Amino acid sequence: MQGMRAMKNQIKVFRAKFNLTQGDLADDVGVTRQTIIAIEKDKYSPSLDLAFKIARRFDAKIEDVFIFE
Amino acid sequence: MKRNTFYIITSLIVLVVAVIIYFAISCGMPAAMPAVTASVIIAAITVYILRAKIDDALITDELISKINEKAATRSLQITWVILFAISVANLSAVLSMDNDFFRAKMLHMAMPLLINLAVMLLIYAIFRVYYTKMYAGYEGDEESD
Repeated sequence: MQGMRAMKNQIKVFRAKFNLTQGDLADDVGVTRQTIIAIEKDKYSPSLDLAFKIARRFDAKIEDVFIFE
Repeated sequence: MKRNTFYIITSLIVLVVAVIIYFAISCGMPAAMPAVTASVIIAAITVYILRAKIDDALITDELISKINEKAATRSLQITWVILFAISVANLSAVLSMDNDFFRAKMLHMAMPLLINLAVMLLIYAIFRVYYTKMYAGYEGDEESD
């Protein structure tokens, strides 16, 4: 989607830590599983709103989950 | 069913209905009209049923919105370019024709198409102004006069 400009992220690592599936995370933050898959693969950079929701779900700071390169 | 599958099946259904209507009109048979009506009704019901079978029909998130947005913009651009090419080809044919009857026929085909294209651009511009006002938030611009 946004190709090379996408941010890197640690969602997969955090999901493993919290024992969450992609579907669970998607339900928790109110998006489709397709969106979580796209973010994990760095194909899509989420909006600030969604990025904060994901970070909050993992009780982490946004910069710990998303890395701007 | 996936959303994309739904769109592909729907476009095929619309194509089939268009072919049925075309043949009914070109054959000029009044008897074909009930078949046309039936095909439109069946198509509408089928699309309605299929829509209910989309897995994530009710969920729209930012990625789906972005995909829809990109697909819609690209469809508009490609449709515009194709129709513009057709109307220009028609107009150049009109200019090179000697036969007045066919010239008039071709002109009647090309001009409404060009007018439609102009209207499409106008509608696009109106919506652009509307959404710019809605989302761009120029009222917070501290550097404008």
